Amino acid sequence: MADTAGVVASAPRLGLLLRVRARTVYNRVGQAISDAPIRLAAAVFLVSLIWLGLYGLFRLVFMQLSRTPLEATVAIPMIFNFFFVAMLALLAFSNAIIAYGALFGRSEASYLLTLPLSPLDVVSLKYLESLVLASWSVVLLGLPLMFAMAETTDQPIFYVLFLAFFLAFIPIPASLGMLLAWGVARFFPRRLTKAATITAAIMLVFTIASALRALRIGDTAAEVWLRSFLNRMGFVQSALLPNNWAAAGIDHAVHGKFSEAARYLGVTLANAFFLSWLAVTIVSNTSIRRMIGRPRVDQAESVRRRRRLAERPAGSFAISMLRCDWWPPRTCEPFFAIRRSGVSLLFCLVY
Amino acid sequence: MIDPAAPPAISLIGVRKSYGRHVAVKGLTLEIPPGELFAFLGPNGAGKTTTIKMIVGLLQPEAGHVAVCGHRIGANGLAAKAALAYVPDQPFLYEKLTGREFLYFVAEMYGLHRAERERMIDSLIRRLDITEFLDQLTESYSHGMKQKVVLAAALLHRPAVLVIDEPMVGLDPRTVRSVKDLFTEHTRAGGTVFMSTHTLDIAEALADRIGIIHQGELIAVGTLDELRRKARREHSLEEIFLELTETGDG
Repeated sequence: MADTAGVVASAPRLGLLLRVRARTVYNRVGQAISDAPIRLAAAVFLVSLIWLGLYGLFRLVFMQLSRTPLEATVAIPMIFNFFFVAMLALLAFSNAIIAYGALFGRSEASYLLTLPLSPLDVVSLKYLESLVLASWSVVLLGLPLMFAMAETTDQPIFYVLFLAFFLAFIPIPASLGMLLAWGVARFFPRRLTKAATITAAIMLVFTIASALRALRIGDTAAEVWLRSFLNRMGFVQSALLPNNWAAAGIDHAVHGKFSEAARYLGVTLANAFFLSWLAVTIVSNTSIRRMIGRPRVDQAESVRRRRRLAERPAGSFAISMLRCDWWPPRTCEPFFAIRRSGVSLLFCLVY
Repeated sequence: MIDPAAPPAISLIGVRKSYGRHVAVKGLTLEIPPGELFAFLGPNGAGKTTTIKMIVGLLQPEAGHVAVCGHRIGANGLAAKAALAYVPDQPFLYEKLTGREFLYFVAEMYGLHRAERERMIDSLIRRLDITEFLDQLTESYSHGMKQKVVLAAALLHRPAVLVIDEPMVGLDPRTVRSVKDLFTEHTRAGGTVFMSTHTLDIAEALADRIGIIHQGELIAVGTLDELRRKARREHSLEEIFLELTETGDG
């Protein structure tokens, strides 16, 4: 029998995994071009349309602001702040879903763990995968914002700095998403009914709290509402939050203060590296095999459950609205529960 | 071929695993020497898959330890996994790779040199008759075709231990014969095959020793003759299996 132990133990494996992933993407794109060119073209067209719409919207906002320079001084950093805080939440959630499915749902992770690979390699691959998949935001949201903003500044280096900030920023929500996925896999109940009950209870408490806060404001005039909203969102400007580092850095770049911008870029990058290392290390060192290897919910049982759900009018409505069929139930039972509870709650609120 | 001083190919000592309150494997102790084809039998839910997952490093036992060729899974997991290959009952393949690309990936994973890789792939695709579809994306494969490619990938680096769950499901009779021959050749060359199956005929025909697990406990282990003596029957493995697992229920 071949003795491959020494060769295998010393060889770096992540590069090989990334090459395989690149090959699958290449084959997938080639297949899409040859088998369904119209579908591919339609997707590209629609994405371009959204991109152009966003670009137009951002451009309009910045043009309006440039007419009132005093307001612009306050508003532009705030826009970037809100943009990055929205990115933080959106990307953390989308990374959590992708990382959960990739690590604990698909059989690939189980397969890779039977190969001579360390859990660190497997988790690193999955982290990079979710990071890249979630980076749609760079193309769809970041670039139109960048081009729209660039029209108000005459600094060509702005493009480079904006992209650098964006790329340095996205590992932060990706790390948070990875930790969230790990937390769900480790601590969230795996039984669908229990998970759905807990999620619904959390969402109900959140809704009641929001409703009470809205009632307390009383005055519904737009100006009062906006001031109250901005007060509540004041925390996003905390110097400790990553959205603030990226927003402040870009603002400095716009005003030609490149050394300040570079300092913020350094802070963002250092935190991105640290959080990435922390997330990958925690996930790969804490019972990852136990979570990936444990028996999953039987797929046939999941299909039966969904059929039972679809037989009820509310369930049928929920499924058709959110296309739960797209989510392989065994891929993300807890996330499925979160979505289902959310839809049920929405359904109850509307009717 | 087989070094008498070599450590057991697979060693499970006092291994225990539970899921919540359900104990899936209760203090399992089993040693399988190199060059043996071991058939692991048991009714559904007996603990076969859990045991296999602990051998291949997918699950950590709560108590006891598992070693492959003397390398403990966990402490020296990479060396242990380099010595084994695992074929699950639901074979995994990257859907957007061709069979050949998948074989290249596995060969590189185990550090096979180019010449050896080509030689092994040529030999295995001939033996398993997979040339015709090897350059198609694996998403178009039937279960049997997938099983063949996964088997080829598992045997590519000539593993010291081959762990295989339901090896013959979905295979045509000609391939079943080829796989049987491959297993026999593998054990003659000093390799070990740990096979979990419900197809008792295959276990009866191929296995050097048979282990029967029931409700998480190894209730019988030995050659077919030894099992017959234990069951006090001179009949087929099927009857022995039914009798032993029925006794375990009581």
